[in-house]
Amino acid sequence: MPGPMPYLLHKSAYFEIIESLLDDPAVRVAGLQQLRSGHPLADLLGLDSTNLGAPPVTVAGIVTDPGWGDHQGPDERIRHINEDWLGMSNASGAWAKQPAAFPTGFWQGYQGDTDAILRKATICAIEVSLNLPPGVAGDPVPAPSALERQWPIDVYWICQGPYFQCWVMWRQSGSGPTEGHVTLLIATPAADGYPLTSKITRPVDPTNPKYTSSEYASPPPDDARLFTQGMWVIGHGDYEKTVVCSTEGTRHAQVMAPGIQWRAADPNTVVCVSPAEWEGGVLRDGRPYVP
Amino acid sequence: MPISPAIIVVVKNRVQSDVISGLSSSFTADDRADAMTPVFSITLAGPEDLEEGDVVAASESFVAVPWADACVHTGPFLEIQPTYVRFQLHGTTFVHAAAPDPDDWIYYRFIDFLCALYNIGVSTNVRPALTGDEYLAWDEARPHPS
Repeated sequence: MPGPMPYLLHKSAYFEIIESLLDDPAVRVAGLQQLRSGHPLADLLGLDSTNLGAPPVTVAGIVTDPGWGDHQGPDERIRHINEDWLGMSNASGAWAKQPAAFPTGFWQGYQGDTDAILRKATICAIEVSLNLPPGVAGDPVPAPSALERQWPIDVYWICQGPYFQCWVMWRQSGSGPTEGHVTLLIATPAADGYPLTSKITRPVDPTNPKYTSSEYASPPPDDARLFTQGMWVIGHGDYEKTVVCSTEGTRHAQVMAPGIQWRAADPNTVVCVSPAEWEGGVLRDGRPYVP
Repeated sequence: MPISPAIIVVVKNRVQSDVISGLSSSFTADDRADAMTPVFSITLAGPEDLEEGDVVAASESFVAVPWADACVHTGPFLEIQPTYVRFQLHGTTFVHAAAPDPDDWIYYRFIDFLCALYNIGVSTNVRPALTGDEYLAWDEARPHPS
């Protein structure tokens, strides 16, 4: 992922790019055929989009360019998807699943065919969005110009576990070809090295560029409803954690159990936050795929 | 002066009743035919064949008693409603047995509650939830792209 994931729900640049690819009917139809025929997932995700970032440049041991965005190139992004998400290895010179490996990829405590799950879910989402019956590799698909339905597809990720599951949800709002939408929710096990934080607000500090972007806001501006995309989290701003240990001495039969308690730091205040894109939120106009 | 063998016998009995009574709202004895016999035993799990007499340790005021309890999850445990899963709960209880009256003894219990959670199907393969300050400390300490 392009950055940390401090929130429970995540979209961020990678999924915005996927959504933008799916917005193009021709790409969506072609992607459906490629997914059905077993084309490598990592090649279909727009990981070569030039607006995702670039790695640092080092010349003679000196960093001449610190890089930007996700600080990665397409090869590293493809490695991340294949190795961390899909549990593949290219030790033999070609990316291949490792079904006996535990865990699969960087999913804590989990083994399963994440490639097959993600592939099937994306196929289902596209089929629903285009009003196509379930199909298999080689099945004919309509020409993009002949599609009778083109609902947009939203993609979200919840990384908490314990299983890798995808949910496809939709809602029709009218009879027109775009009057409805599909949501693909990817629910995964916890990923190594990505803690959550209970604090959903951020300090907006003019000297700290991380949160001065107009894309982070709390509260969101009144005209945010006019943006083409939005993703808000509403809750208490932060919580206080109390840990109860079980090893404190007590008298007979007064056994203590361990515990953890989260109490709202300010239970009288509820805040609305539009997270920064690099922490899982979205840009107001999304992030298009840029070849 | 070391704790006498007679007192150690009392301690062992009191540890058993402490565990069984103290956890009775969550766990009850697994008395099915294929369960561990006896339901409560003083033991250490591992490759060695240890007898009860080998595993109880005593100083001049403390007695350490490792134990295993064959139990069933029949009541709320850490806010998890009963699953009726059968498993063995393991722990060690350190009893400060210096007082002449056993009712004044203090019990320091080190119970493998984590394994109990796993047995009843609770996974800890989740992302750790940090407070705002803890998260900032993590973000400062973690490796960043150069």
